[in-house]
Formats: sequence, C-alpha cells, structure tokens
Amino acid sequence: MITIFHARSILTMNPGQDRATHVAVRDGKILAVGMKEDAAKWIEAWPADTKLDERFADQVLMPGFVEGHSHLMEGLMWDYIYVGFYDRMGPDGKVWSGLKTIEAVTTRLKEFDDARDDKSAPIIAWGFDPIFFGDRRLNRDDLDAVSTQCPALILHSSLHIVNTNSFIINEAGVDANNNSEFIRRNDDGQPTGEFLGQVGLFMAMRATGLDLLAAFSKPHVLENFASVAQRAGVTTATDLANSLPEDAVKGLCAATERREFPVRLVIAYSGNAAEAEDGIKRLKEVAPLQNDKLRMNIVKLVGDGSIQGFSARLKWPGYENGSPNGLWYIEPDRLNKLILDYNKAGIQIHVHANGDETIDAVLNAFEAALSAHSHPDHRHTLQHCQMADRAQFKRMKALGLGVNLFSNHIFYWGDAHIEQTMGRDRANRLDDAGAALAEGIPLAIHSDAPVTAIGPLFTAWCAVNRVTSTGQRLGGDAQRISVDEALEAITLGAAYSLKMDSEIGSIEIGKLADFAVLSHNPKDEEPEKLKDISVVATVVGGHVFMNDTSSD
Amino acid sequence: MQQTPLTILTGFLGSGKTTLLRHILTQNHGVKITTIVNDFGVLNIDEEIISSQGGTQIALANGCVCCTIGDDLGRTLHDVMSRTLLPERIIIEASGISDPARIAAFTYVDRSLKLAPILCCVDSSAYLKQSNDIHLADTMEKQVRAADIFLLTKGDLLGDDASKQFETAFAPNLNDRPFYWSVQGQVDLSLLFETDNNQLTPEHAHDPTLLETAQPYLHTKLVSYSGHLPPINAQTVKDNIATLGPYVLRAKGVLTDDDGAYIYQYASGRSDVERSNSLDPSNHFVILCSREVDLTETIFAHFSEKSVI
Repeated sequence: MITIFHARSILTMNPGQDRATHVAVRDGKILAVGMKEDAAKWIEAWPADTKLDERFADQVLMPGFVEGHSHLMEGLMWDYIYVGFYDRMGPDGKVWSGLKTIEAVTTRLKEFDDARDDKSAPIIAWGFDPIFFGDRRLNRDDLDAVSTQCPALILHSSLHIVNTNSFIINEAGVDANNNSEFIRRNDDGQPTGEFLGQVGLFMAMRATGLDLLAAFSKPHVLENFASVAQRAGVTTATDLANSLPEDAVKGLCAATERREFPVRLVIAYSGNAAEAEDGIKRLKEVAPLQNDKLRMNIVKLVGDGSIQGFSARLKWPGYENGSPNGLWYIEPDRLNKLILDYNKAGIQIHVHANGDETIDAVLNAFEAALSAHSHPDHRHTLQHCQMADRAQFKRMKALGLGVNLFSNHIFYWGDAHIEQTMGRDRANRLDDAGAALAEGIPLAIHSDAPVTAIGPLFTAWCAVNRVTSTGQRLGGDAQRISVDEALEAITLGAAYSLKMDSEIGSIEIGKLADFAVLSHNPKDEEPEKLKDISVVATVVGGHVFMNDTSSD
Repeated sequence: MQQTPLTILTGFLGSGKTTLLRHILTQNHGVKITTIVNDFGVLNIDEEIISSQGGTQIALANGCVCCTIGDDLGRTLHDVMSRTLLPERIIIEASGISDPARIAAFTYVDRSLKLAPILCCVDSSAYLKQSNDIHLADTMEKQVRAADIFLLTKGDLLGDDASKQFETAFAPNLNDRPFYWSVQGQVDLSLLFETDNNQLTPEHAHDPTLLETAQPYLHTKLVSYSGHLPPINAQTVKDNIATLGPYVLRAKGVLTDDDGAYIYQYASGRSDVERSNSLDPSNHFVILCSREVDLTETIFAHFSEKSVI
C-alpha cells in the first residue's frame, strides 16, 4: 500500500529538488517526492488503495533528525527526579522546570518525599550542576533536610560527582580520617556529602545497596530514551558507547524489531576497556543481529574528560582558573594502537576529544593509522572536539576526518567557559562549526544526552546564534553557520557521520521514510526562533508517531 | 569487622605491572588473592594452573582469582566483595593513566576494605623520557605521589652502571619511600604485602632467612630490631613510628594498653591497630628498617621515654 503525505511544505535537504509538498511512501521507503500536480498524477496511475494522508497539511516536513551523539543513559535518568538548572521534557511529555537555587532543589525532593508512602526507599535525583551556584555548594545538611530516614543521592549532570545525605555517609562509616581529594570535607574534616569520581556511587552501593545502574538493561529504559528522542523530532539516535553485553544486545533487538519503537538506533562499541581484537570480534558477532532499526557497527573511544569538569586535557596555558590539567581516559600510546588496529580492520572510529591537547593526540593517532592503512572513505569522526583551533581543523581536513561538535555547550556552559575553564579567547572558538565548514569538513552537531537535553533544533539554534545562557555571544560571524547549514548538520551531516546518508538524512526517492513534522518552517523564521519551533510528530519508516505534548 | 586489604598496582603502560601480577598470581604464597585487571588475556597464564575460566573471570588452582575491570571498577569491586567466599587480598591493576588516589578513595567509604601500600612500577629504561613528555608528566607525577613502594623494572635492559645512574636520577622522587628492583616480575612478595609464608612476626626478629631472601632484590640493606615494650598506648606507637618514618619499612608487635591487648602493624607509611580479647600479649615488638644504621638503642630508647601512659 502507498501512502502520500501532504504537507504545507517539505524541506527535502535534497539540492536536486528543494521544493515539495507531497511525499509518497511504500514499504517504509520514499517512493516519490513532488508538488500537488505530481501527486494528482500519482493517484491516477497508482493502485486504488493509495491513501492520501492530509493530517500534516498545515505543517512542515523535514527529514527526521539524526542525533549523532547521545546515550541510552538518558532513558534511565527519567527513573529519577530531575533537578537540573534548565527546563527539560521527560518521556511522557511533561516539562520539568529548571531549578535556579539549591533550596528549590531540596524543596522538589522534599515534596517527593512528602507525597509518598514508603519513606524508607531511596530518593535519587539527577541533572544537578554546581557550576551555576557559585560558592554555595550543595551539602549533606541540605539533603538531611529532605530526609534522614532513607538514602538520598543526587547525581550531577556530569555523572562524575554525587551528593549524599548523612544516612548514606553514616551507613558507610566515612569519618574525618583518611584525607582524600575525592571526598570533600569541611573545615572540621567531616565529609560535606560531595563525592568525586566514582567514589560516591560505590559508597552508596556498598553501604545501602543502592544501585543506580541496575535497571539499565530493563526494557523501559529503551522506551523512555526513544520517547524523549521522538518528541524532539529525532528518528535516528546513537548510543556512544556500549560494551554490547549479551543481555543488552537482546534487549536492543527485541525493542527495535517492534514497529511501535519510534527511533532507529546506532550503537557504538565501547572500545576503551577492551583490546581492539576483542572489539572487532564482538562487532562481527553482533553484525547478523542488526535490523533496519538497529546498527551496531562502529567503535567509540574516549580520549579525555569534560571541560566543565576540568577533566579535559588542555594545551598551554591550561585552565583559566588555574585548575590542574585534566585526565587522559586512555593512554596516548594505547589510543594510537587502538586507532591503528580498528582502522586496519576497516571499522569506523568515533573518538571523544574535548580539550585541544587530546585533539592533537587523536590527530596524531589518525595520521599514523591512515598512513599505515589507507581507507579512502573511512569517515572516522572526532566527537565533541570543542576546543579545536584552525590548525587542527586543517589537519582534520588533510586526514579526511569528520567532526561532530557539542554545540549545546555554547548555551549551557559558554559563560562558565569564559569565566572559569578557558577564558574568552578560547571560548570564542568553542565548537567552531564555522571553521569546520570553511575548511570543508563534514559536520554534525549534538546534545550528548543525558549531559544536555536531546533537541536537534535547539542544537542547530546554538550553532547558528552562538549565545550563552546570559546572552553573551561566543566568537564572531566566522564561527556562526547559517540556518541551512545547521539544518543539514542535524540531518544529512549526522547521517554522513554514521555512514547512513545513503539511507536517511534527506527526503528523496529510495531513502527510508523518516520525517520530522514541524509547526513552522525553519527557513521562514528568524534564526533566533529556531529553538521555539515545535515538533508535532515524527514518521519512521512510514509509521506516524504523534506528539501529545501537554506541557502548556 | 574483617577488612580485606586492597593493594593498588599503578604505573605506566609497559612499566611491568602485568609481569609482576603474573609473578604474584603464580607464586605459592598461600594467600587467596583476587586480582582485578584490565585484560587477563595479556596475563598469559599457564593453562595448567587454571582451574576454571568464565567470561570475565579465571580461577587458579592456588585459590587466586583474576577478573576484568570492565566498564565500572566500583561495580566489579562490589561484586568481588559480595561473594560468599571473600578474598584474603584484592589487587587492582590500575590502568596506565589512572590516578591511584581515585581508587584508594574507595577504601575510605567502605568499612570492609582497607588500603594496603600502593605499589608503583617504574620502567627504568623509559621513565626519564616519559617524565619529560608534557602529555604524560602530570599523570606520572600523580602516580609517583600516591605510591608507597616503588618497583623499578627493566634494569636488566639497562645494565648495572645505567641502573645505578637511574637510581640516582630517581632518588629525588623517593621522599624516603622504599624501592626495589624487579627483573621479569621477580620480587620477594613479603616486601610488598604479608603472605602466609612470610609474615613478619616478633619471632622473625633477626631471622636470617628473611634477610637473605630480601637481599638480592635490594640495593638498600634490610635490618631488623626487636625488643620488649612496656604497656603503651596504640596512638603513641603510631606517633613514634611516624617520627622514625624514613627508616621504617615494617613493624609489628602484640602489645597492651589500658584497653587491653592489640596487634600493631605498620607497612609503608600506614599503621594498623587490631584489638582482640583472645590475644596473649607478648609485648614483643619488631621493627624492620631499610637502612643499615644501628638504631637499636635509639629506637627503643625513643619508645621507652614516651611510653608512659
């Protein structure tokens, strides 16, 4: 059966046919794209059961958005209470307001505790970011005011710091002894309740049996992730990365085989913890289990930490506030070896590199690997790549590398980058999409959900406008990109970075029928309004998923 | 509460951690050790001594177990500590870029673990180059700062003269912490942690075999002192040992104070006091020193003066 979707206008992202109002779909794929006159001819020529679907006649169709760097962890986070600084939409469409003070955070948790029957179950929250509260740190007293009867734990948005209440600290027996920089203490030497690294999660697990990640492979996590992505207009999303254990792969297969599952997933194998030989073997093993909504064919490596967490590796002169240089998440020698081996095996490599020192290390590794084994269409991609300068972009071009920039950082942490992490000079070139395109480098942009909310139109808005949350602009016109370029980055650009641009990313014959249905035409709106456009629905393989957002 | 000692093995990629671990795992030391490693494939353990092998774990005939870190060290450690049969010691092979202090912090938030001396492997043939590499220097500095005992490796590649030169070059990093040379992972394990075969007990005072087995691996000489102490407060013992810090490698005694009998143990900067009602206090105290200086009188005079409770 053929369905013809009629829209007010269709942004095809196909330069050969940029104007259309009708798109015909058969077997989940695009059969034809055209104007009203074309559709009339199709209906005449095609079988009688051809259906004209008019429900989007007042809306605008785009290719479904492609989120090239996100994590399934987003789906798990919604099991817990959101206490982030910015508004965020959950899988059910409910918008959780951002919390602007620590008191607002504790109030939300207290309300949660008051409303429940079982007061001994743990209270878990996520999304907190101390960088917005200056010198005022969240501490155990704040969380003791929420409850002293149960474990209470807040996972920071970085996922690398937790705060706990005294219940957990006392159960664990943490006292004033044992000085460790990973346990924050007050002047009396008592732990303040803030634990760095993985220490806090380990403590909670050992002392109270609290295990935040226990539910990670449960089916609802995938469903929640998919719903959040779907509401943002995403039809293909990524999980960067996953060690692909047996049960996770089973869960992924089961979910994506269902027609009702609203996104295609691309899963990258997590390469840091294993030898390349093992990763290559695992990717071979899972290859036959892929389906048209599930790919498991790329590898992800992580070079360093995060800039706002001061764990990214920076070149001279280092951090603006004098923090010591960040952490390698992999030995540079081992990075060289892994990139060499995966490249040799012909597997596409995505490398997380935030700081400019790490970007250098990754470029050196690719230069050596590609000199040893050339693959003309390798599509290896630098992920985040936030601090790259022009010289580094030129090296990427020379090596044929793509880039997927973390544009959301400009808004969320732009001010913090100016004042604390890298200073104005380097913040001006943060996530420099303008430079990438000027050098002719394939460009995608991303959210890194759950680190920031998934929302390609918002991400595009960040890359176009480059304004921080207080309205400062980072860099000049050379760093900004046009709306057209940003729209390409969230569709074809991201699809290219996943080697899927022959199947998705534009509305043209032969491709999968994946669309985002929008309230307004992004090309007709002011660039400042890009983020305010609503996603009405998505279409995945011809199947419609309506948004029933009821936030207003 | 029974506490499992946790040894962190740090050092750069290629510094000899895996070789040392293979040595530790295959020795007949009588300790049921669980090692948590990055990849046990590279450990290359003889199939003959493997008793069973699963996806992320190998069990050895001598009771040792070897498992992989996977994505999450905390979870792996939790799993190991949740088993019915607890290990007698855990050794974590930290990755070449990790800060051992991060792992050490786990023991401060878990009553069932106690931190043992941190071992740091240093590749004597590569250290000077690595420590001058701006990309690596700060990471290496963290590892050296956290270490309690250094194992200098690959001296056989350098030869005797160059090894001596390296000792001189490395000496400013030591800050009175001990170092031993280890070739192909060979080292007397009693220098690294207590084993069934070679526990430091008061009876070991002046035990010539202990000294003999240690000697070949030491460029510094090993001397032990022993004597009897009057009733002495555990904190006072700690304080005194701290004062003698630079010289003392290990110390042990079964002592008494107002609260009763206790076992005092000291290894590489850490004091440990364990109280038990069933102890028969000998008030015998033994100290193992890393320098050939006659401190006997000084040490016991030191204790006697300050030991009045």
